[in-house]
Amino acid sequence: MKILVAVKEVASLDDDFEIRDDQLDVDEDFLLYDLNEWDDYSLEEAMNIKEAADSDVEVVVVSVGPDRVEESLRKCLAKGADRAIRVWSDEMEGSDSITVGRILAAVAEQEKPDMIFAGVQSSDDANASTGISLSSYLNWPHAAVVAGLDYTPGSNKAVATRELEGGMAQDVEISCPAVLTIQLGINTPRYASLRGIKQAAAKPIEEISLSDLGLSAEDVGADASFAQVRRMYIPEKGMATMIEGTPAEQAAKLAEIIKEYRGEL
Amino acid sequence: MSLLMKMQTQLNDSIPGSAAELISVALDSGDIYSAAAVYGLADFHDKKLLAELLTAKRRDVLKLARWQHTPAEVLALFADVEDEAVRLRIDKNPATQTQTLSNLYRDEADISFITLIAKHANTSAEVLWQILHSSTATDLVRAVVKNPNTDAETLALVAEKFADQFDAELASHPATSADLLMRLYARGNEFVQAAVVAHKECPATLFTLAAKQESSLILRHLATNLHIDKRLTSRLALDKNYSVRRAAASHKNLPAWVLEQLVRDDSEYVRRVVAAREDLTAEMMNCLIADTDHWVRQWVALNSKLSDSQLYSLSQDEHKEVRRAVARNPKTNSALLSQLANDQEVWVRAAVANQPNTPASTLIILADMDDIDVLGGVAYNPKTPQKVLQRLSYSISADVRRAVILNNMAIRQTLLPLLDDPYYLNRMMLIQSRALSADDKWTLYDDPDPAVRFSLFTWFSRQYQQ
Repeated sequence: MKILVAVKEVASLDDDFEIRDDQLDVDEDFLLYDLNEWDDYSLEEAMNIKEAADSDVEVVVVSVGPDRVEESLRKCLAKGADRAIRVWSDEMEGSDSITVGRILAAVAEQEKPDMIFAGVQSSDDANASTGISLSSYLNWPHAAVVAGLDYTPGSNKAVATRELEGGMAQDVEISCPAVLTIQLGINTPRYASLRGIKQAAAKPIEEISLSDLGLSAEDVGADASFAQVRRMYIPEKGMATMIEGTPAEQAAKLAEIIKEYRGEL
Repeated sequence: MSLLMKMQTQLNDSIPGSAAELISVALDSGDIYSAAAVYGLADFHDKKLLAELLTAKRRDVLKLARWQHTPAEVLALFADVEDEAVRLRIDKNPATQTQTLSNLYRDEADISFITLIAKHANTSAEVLWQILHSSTATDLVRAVVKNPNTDAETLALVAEKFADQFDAELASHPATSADLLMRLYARGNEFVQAAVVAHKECPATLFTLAAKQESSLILRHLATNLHIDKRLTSRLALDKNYSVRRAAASHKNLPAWVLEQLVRDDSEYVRRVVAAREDLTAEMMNCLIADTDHWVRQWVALNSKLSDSQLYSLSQDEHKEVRRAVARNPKTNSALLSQLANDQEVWVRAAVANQPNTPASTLIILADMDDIDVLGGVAYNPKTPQKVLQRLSYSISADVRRAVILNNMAIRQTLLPLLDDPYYLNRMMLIQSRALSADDKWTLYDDPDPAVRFSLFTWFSRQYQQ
């Protein structure tokens, strides 16, 4: 029994940042990298299934990205993942989330997992489409925004509780293998133990390139993508007023503004 | 090769015997956080090597220039880097020291950067004076006037140069002179006058003038001034407006006969402030114990002059916050604490667990409960037996384990397993522990978390500096 967990190393912004000269992205010097928060929950869900299972369950994490992605993969290994795979070729640069789904599908075809978890979305690009794209390329069933899961390894069915608008939940029975996109709060992700982190530092990370997957340069990268970034910029800010004066004056002005908005003046 | 692997490969576990060895370890590791921690300790030659490491990558410089723990000497080093983005971070970093800010100002032409320097808490009065002379831009002048380091002379100049434009800020500034406050009161609006009469330097002549005003805003601020006399405090404490009475109710000058009236004040807001006073008589406290407002009862329940019977009476209160206040009261006896340890509300039991007077026998019972707040209190309590602390050091909750680390009575054997704590903040806190030896702490030299490595190398730097 094998669970494949797709993870992404996401970029977060420093307070003050600069946009690259080509205006397509933020200057990399101003980006801080970490494991996508949703993926932390996906991994935890896989680990919980592994630890509760009577039979052997292998948890394999996979990520598409350059060398720096190894840091996030090692974090997953430190938390107990059995294997880590990094997929990268320079031709993959500029791939959109749909194309990343295609690459991950090629990995899944080789790994033959019984279940695939991905985060609902990544905190940097927020497309919420990689997991769905992956299921589409595999032609597997999927359930999105999964906030609860009842699944026994080896079973051909799982019941996923999906989070809907307005605080509603929906229980969905889904045939396995399937792709589930996992929502925050489904579990409480663990901290990696210090020993786990040190051991993970020495563990090998399998590296897979385009040719290993049977894909060609035409299948990946910016040219193969359905969406391309044309410009990244900071939109003009809306109106804001700094309330000056003594603290009492500021409080009085604020109360006046609130009353005005409430139609009490 | 990752930094962690590099450190594990290159270093051994033996503790550095000198400052030079510590610096050498930091240099060999290639770790910018260890290097930043030892930079202040290094001699000229090593400083040069450390500087090369710290400034090798722009990305690292940006990261450290923004980090609030970066030592001031490292920020001073970065101030020489010709990079606007780095300068912006140093101007904003609260750890940047006075001399660095002074140097940055000397070479600065951009008004937005000068405004950041004017806002910085470490900018000297001298630089602020120079800034004021360099520009009349409103934001910049406001930043100077709001900076607590600005001196009376500079503030007087602002009042003279800009008419009443910054009177509100001037009236609130702690360095504003009595003379200027007089002028501000004379020309200011109600808000400025209110700020003036609350000022610690406000001249007594203004108290008399302000007391004649009808404005409850001015009277309320006047009532908060610690320098007003007993007669004025009493008058304000009996004012028709409850907000003025509330402001006066906490004044240290309040005579007992006024306090007796305020205990029965119509406004619960006034009674709450009265209930928080320590100088209440037994009669006053009895009156407040019977108050209909639970906040009043909660405040009085914390009073250290309550008798055993009064505390017992409050411990039977229907409101959990009142019972919790009894559990927090330093005078509550062990018998009553043991009784409150069985309270149905977790919040009350947690207060008992945190209370230093709770007997060990009660703490042992509380240690078997499931609630994290209760277990955290037991883990932090100095009376908790060592065996219980040892058990709690393996709690699944990082908060409970951290409470053991923060317990001053936790011995070395209890703390040692926590050096492997999965939560980085807990490992970082162990570095300050007096129970662990330097050898114990050095096991964290290759910790995967940069904040832990920085704290460790900083701790060792301080040992060698002594």
